[in-house]
Amino acid sequence: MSKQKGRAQERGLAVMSPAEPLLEVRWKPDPGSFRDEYFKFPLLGMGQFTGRQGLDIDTGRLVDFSISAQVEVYGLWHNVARVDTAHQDVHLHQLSRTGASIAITVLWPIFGPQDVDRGWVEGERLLIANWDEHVRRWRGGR
Amino acid sequence: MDARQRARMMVAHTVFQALRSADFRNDTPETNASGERVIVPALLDDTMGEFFDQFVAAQGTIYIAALEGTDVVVITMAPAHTARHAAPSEEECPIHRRTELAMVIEYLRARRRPVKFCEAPSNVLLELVDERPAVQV
Repeated sequence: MSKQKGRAQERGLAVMSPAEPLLEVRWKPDPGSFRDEYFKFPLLGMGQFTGRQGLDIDTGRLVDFSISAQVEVYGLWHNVARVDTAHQDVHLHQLSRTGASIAITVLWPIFGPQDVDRGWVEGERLLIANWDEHVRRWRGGR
Repeated sequence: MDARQRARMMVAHTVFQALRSADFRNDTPETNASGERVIVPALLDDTMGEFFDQFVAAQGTIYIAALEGTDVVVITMAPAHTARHAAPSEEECPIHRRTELAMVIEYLRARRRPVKFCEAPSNVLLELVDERPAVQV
């Protein structure tokens, strides 16, 4: 093989090397960059939603949150389910009568405030749509 | 869930969405004794006594949110502060525990200023949030 032909073939070769791993850089707001505002939505004859909004101090944008679905038993409020943004994921927690998480569903990772906002929308939708199921499971001790 | 509960959850959903907006949060700034913004998702035929019970439990301002079509109507229920030696008002109060929310909204719209809730042991003022003056003095 001539030197010229060998170089031409060499130029046409595909580079076979391991793919570079995709960097998943999760996002969380800087401590001190947001303020917490608390809310409660009493649902007459049903229970209530309570929770917290972490709002960016400069922009007012939602950067962190927690929403709990609660029922009242003998004057005490109990969490039956919760959606929150702890650990840089949006999670749905199903809670037992002792308050422990018996199932945690990761809805999606948080790469920016847009994922937090999307989590608020989907989280409240899940808590509302599955209200009966969450309450029934909690009352059944599961 | 029965039909009323589903309707109440629809209001709750609307309030959740509204709370994403800074404008809505600015319109509902007051909190209860525990520092919570209390918003009661309401149906138009709920009676005022139920809201008053929530007001007593909150020990502070609460908001009552209802749907009129696709619009959210919000009423503030706040402690009213009157002078210690003020003369009792001669004004007739048409709002009682069994008055339905829809009637109160219409009354507040027609009156265009806050109204006192008469059957409360403590004074309570009712006011439409969306018809507040732009500047509070």
